[in-house]
Amino acid sequence: MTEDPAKYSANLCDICGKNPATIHFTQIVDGVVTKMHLCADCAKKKGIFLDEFSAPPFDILGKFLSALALPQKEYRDITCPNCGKRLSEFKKDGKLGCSECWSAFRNDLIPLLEKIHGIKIRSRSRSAKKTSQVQSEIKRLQELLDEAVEKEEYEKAAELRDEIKQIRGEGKNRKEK
Amino acid sequence: MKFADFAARPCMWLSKDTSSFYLSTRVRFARNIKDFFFPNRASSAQQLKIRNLVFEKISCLKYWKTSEKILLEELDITDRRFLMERHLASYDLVFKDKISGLIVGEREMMSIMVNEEDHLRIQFFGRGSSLGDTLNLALAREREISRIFDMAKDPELGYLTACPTNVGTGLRISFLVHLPALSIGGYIGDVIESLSRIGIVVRGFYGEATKPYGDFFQVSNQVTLGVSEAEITEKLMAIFSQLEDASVKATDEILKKRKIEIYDSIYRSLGICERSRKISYEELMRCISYIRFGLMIGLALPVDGEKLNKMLVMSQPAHIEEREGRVMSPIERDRMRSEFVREILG
Repeated sequence: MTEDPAKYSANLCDICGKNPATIHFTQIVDGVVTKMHLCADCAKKKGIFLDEFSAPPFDILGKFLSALALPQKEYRDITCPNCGKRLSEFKKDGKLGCSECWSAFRNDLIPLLEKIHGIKIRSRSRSAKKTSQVQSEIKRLQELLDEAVEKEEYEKAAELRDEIKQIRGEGKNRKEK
Repeated sequence: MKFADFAARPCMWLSKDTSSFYLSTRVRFARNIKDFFFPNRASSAQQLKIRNLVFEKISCLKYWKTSEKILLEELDITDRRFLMERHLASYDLVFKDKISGLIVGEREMMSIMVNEEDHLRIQFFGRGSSLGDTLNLALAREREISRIFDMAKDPELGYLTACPTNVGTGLRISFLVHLPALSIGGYIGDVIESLSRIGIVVRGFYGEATKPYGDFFQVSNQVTLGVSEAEITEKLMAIFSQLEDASVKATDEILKKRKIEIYDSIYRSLGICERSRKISYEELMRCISYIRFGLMIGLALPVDGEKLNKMLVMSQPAHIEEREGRVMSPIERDRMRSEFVREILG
């Protein structure tokens, strides 16, 4: 079963049904699975005292951090091709969904990282991941090209050669930017 | 309830030396395994897969052979709070609905949270103020772990984490410190603010998302990217000695200006611990703070660091409930707590 974590934050308390649930847990007693979603007030009434660990004030940190870097005005929402996390979701919860998010949202993350960590990250147009993707693509085309030449399919070979050239050329142009 | 044994002993990593404001060091690494979604995005099935993988592979490591593996879903609320009180788990691990786990190493000096914000949160404790030793040990253990997993890494940024505040080294070093003089003198706010400007975070006794109790604070680095482990250590050591200087100065000043008031608070706190019949944990923390301050400034009180540590750790609410083996009302706990404290002091 796939669970949408974003749902949890919107979940209401199991008991009062009014306040947002902040305490979530699954418990298994004698093989029976119980899921609990409680708000702080109802938890308290049930004798679950969490005063020592006051309601997490640092939850707002995530929002604060993303607000730092991302302009409040209109922005283009991007979706991570790997895990489906959206940039707008990241803006809300401050959490990346997978390691590919780091590539997908890179342009938005770099200024944020520079603010958090107080350093300058040298700008580059493509992430290393992308560079390696490009290289493997070139390698793949090169192999096809060699194969075509061997089979004396020169027309196809010419197409492939141009394709490689284009990718390489594009890379150069990006570097110059 | 599962942790009666744990609850009957104090934490090994707390320093007994009351002449210093320093209590312990914690070194923590955030790591994620390649090709899996981060816990906040992973499905329950994936979370379970990660936990199984981590539990299985960790068991092969020499220093983790005798470790205890805990499945969070088997725990009741008291158990969960107990792990937080013990500083072994965080709020995120115990009260966010994920398939999570905890591995506790020998003598509770190291632990691994599985499926907290990141797949692995590996932490090490040390009680010697020699940060270098603790860090070297932690680094050695961490390397053994990172070697058996294929961790998510970026050639430019370093270790990739769910939150941008941890990316890079994934390393957070924190000191648990006791700063009564700065607090009584009214300087603590300024100290926290000026530290935050240079990338040092001050948090409460239980770390992230908790409020400070009894002037116990966690001081840690915020910056994890673009710095080496050695640079983080160096910076924190500098902060450490500056905090020490500031503490000494504040102590001198408040003792010069408000000696009677402070002595009164110290002895009054001892009196409360020795004589009261019910006491909340918050009040006890305040008393422990004053008593510890009394020892720090050289008063001959009938307590020592060991007893104070016992009071500090073992009279926390879930510790009391674990030892008794049942859930209690706050009033009942307050009564048990004062009994326990008197027993230690008696």
